[in-house]
Amino acid sequence: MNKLHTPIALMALTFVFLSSCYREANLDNQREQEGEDLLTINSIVNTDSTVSVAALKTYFFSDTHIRRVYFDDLDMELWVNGKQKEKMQYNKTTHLYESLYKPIPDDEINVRTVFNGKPVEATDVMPKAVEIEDFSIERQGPMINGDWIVNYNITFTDVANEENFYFLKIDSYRKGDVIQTDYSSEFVFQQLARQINAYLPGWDMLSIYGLPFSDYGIDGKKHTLQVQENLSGIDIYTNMHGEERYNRTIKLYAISKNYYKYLVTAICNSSEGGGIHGGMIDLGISEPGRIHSNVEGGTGILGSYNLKTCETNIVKVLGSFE
Amino acid sequence: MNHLRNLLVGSFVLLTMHGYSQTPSDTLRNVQMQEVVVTGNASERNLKAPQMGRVSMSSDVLRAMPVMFAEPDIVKTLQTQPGVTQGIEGFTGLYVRGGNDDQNLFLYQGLPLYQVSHLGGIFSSFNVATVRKVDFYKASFPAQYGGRVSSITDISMETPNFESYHGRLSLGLLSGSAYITGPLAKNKTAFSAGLRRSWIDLVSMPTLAIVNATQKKKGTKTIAAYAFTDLNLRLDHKFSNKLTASVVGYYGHDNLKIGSREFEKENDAFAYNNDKETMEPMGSGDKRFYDQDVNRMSWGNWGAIASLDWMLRKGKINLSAYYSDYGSTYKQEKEYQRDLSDKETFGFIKNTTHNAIRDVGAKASYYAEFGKIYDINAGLGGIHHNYMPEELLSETFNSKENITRNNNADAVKATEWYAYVDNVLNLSSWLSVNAGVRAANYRAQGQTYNMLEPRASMRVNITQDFSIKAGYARMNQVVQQLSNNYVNLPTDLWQPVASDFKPLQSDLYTIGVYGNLPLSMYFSVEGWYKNMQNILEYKEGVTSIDPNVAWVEKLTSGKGWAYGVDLSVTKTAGKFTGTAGYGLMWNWREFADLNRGEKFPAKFDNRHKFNLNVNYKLNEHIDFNAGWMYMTGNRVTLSLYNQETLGTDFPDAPQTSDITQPNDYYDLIGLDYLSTRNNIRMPAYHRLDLGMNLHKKLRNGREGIWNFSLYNAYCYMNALTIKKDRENNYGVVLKENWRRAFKKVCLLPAIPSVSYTYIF
Repeated sequence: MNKLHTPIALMALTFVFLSSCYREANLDNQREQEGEDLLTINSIVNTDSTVSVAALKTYFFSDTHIRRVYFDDLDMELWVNGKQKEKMQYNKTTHLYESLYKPIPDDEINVRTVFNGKPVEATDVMPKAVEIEDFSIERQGPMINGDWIVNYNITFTDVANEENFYFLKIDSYRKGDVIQTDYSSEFVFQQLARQINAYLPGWDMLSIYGLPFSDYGIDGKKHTLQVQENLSGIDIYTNMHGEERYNRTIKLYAISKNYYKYLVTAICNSSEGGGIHGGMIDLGISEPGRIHSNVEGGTGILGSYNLKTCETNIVKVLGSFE
Repeated sequence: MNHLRNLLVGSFVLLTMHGYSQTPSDTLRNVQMQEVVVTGNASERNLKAPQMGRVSMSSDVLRAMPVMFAEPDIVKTLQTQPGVTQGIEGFTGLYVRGGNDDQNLFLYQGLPLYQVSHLGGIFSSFNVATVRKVDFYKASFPAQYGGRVSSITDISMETPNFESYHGRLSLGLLSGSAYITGPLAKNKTAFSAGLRRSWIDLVSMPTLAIVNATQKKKGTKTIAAYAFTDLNLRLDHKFSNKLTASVVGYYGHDNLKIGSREFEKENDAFAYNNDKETMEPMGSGDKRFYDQDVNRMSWGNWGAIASLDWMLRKGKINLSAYYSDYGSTYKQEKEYQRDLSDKETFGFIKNTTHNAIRDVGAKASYYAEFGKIYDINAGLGGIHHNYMPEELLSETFNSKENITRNNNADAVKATEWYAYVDNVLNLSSWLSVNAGVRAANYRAQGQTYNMLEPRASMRVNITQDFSIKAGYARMNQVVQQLSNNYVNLPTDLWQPVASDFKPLQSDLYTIGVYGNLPLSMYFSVEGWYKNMQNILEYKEGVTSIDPNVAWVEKLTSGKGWAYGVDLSVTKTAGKFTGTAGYGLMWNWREFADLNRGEKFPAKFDNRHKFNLNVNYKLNEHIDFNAGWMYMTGNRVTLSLYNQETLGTDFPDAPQTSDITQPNDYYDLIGLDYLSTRNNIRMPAYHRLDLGMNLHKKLRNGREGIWNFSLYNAYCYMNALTIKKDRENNYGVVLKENWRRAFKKVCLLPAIPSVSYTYIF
């Protein structure tokens, strides 16, 4: 046993060396005027609702922050295709500046205001919707543990010779139901993963919220998206909510480039990276990536989307899972 | 004590110890082989040589420095020079007078090396046992050198012993080295060989086994292994007193593996029996599986250089040819089987990034001294570069498909021709001039760049004890290593100049005052200004391993400039010897595509740097050394402010994170807002290192040396960087639940170390 003492002691020393130590740093003296006076403009517009804008205050990271701080006294203007449309009104209930205008595809949407004497504005172009041309589902199972796999096949055609961006989400009819979707076998999401893995190695293509993707590798082609849902055997067995819980809405969004870049950089903003590179991000050693913003004079995002959906009930289509 | 003194003095005390002269490196080997004793002293050279910004040190000097893990380190020793910044604590970064880490040319016996660090930079790649001396230039670059814009480190190997066998064995905490030299044919042919290997992988094995045994119940396993190896070979042959030849081989390679494996928990009631034969379930429900993430890095250089020295009646000719091969690989591997009883659930995703440079070069040079009046060094040569800027391989395998994608950049093949002439003219006792020029032609991807690099320096003595010097040097660099990290990873990619970017160019202006002081001391004060054009950086939002963007599209070109003053005072005699150095520096960058086009401070814009190194030789058996460093902190880019997410303001918008209730944790977590690049100054860095050497004479002229070192003696936890630490409680956010803080990441406490060296 004594023979083990030396290597163990050596390794203990090594681990002391290799294990990093964290100590609180007071950076109050580094507060920047730019950060204190920064306006965040957030607005996601779509063809089904009128344009609304949130104007928010940034906060110093270590300050206690228990509610969002909205600016309610700005002159917020909406411009469409280079022409002033209207002055937006602040809604005290929603905390948003609201307009009466509902955008249409190819609209160039511009919101602008003046904050602390400086102009702040953002511009985005509403994408055209992308039709879901075909949709089918299949099932695999039951697995040895009683789970089932539901395969979704969603076919659409990308418009050739232009950059297009999308977002796919498998949603439940019932609010609050979580649909864990596995995107890992789908080509377009593997491309997304390669892009994100540049920042976050080990990032998995699993999400309950949906994921964005680009037409990289499928430009101008008809493409069938293939994603999977894992149906828990235990949930099937308990059958708490009847067939209603098998209702699904497939949401295929056409999103603007600005919105796509914002979503991807927001994922990369996570510090939960794996591997050597991810560890360096977590330690703060890597040069951080900037969250994409198209707001000039401030920060935030003016993004746009155009949504097409189809609905199904997987039990009605595939039969009972019990 | 002489060792440290030599280091601190810079160059010239070595003359009397090792037959050193202030001549170009091509001539040094010959000078030593012929045992020419060159007279002179450091203070005199400091005063009278026209060159500036040069330091030379022997391997003894390197060994005399207090070091981490008792591993003598060339680069860490150079870090103590004024005007040289270490970068990140513990790593072998070298940032010379505002330059970047890739702007330093390392020549190992004339063989250019692209990678000079082990273990993520914690150890440098040079086995000090094989090193005779090191010449370091940070200004007034001799015209024979080119290819890097900030510094030249010319490392000379120990000359093989033609008479008898000798060697050196050294054992440290994390590595060991051996060096042996001797004749193959007495006074005709001799060889030397050096080997160094780390045993971190071996000593970590039991600890890792214990850790994994405790983690097994939790269903996780840590995977880690690291090893590096250096091998140095040299063969010398004397054809005659006037004609000698040598062949040198260098091999240095590192492998690092780190990752984790997840599998079913041992005590999970739903887990299966771990007996692979039966696969009987222990309960009902869950299944056996594994999910393994492993990152592998490997990097290294190997190469060989052959040279021929021919002594003429007046001067010497040197002919040399070399091959240098550098490569680095970064692999991310994810492998899984979601159900061990079902082969269909097996799959993997593997991404590999590879970077390589292969150089073949040849050179001819001539050196001669014409009395004490005039020296000339001239030469010409050519290099064929074969760059692989980026080789990306992506493999995906699952039950449905097996996809392999190569996204390789085309190799960049480049040819470089150069010629140079360097002249030293001692016009009188009060005036001497060093003037030279280097002309180079670089051709890659149909693009040709002609580069003319004038170099000049002049010394004027204003009194017997004081002189003034001024110098100018232009340098060019055709390949740059880019990093998105504060720690330069060895797998960071070298990117060549091709059709899209111009060579990096620097102009360095230096002026200084030099003089002798009482009590065997002398000083130098150098003011300098460096201007750099065509520095490459990654664009914002792009990382090196992004496979969807071609390598040239990831890069942006900009400029940098730095200026400052370096001051050093050296004491060369008496019981205590040592030096004090102070550097004052401003360091700026400006890129059209970075920081909104506005200028920003460089990462290593260290305003003040102070070094004090002392050596005390108690007697023949014991010597002590100490080094203290204070430095203004590095700069980092840190998001001080957070901007709000879309959150519940736009609940119908597609989002990739949780949208629950207004003002809950997810609604308030925010996104990092970055204002300006390198906006934060880190806390000041300071550290005291102590060392002691115990020499014991053994029988038959052999010697044993115990080295004891204490790195960071007063255990000040210097900050590596600052991170944003989120410790919020999830759910409803109340004031007391909001726990966020900036935290300093500190790495290295006090580290004692010991090594033993046996010399025979």
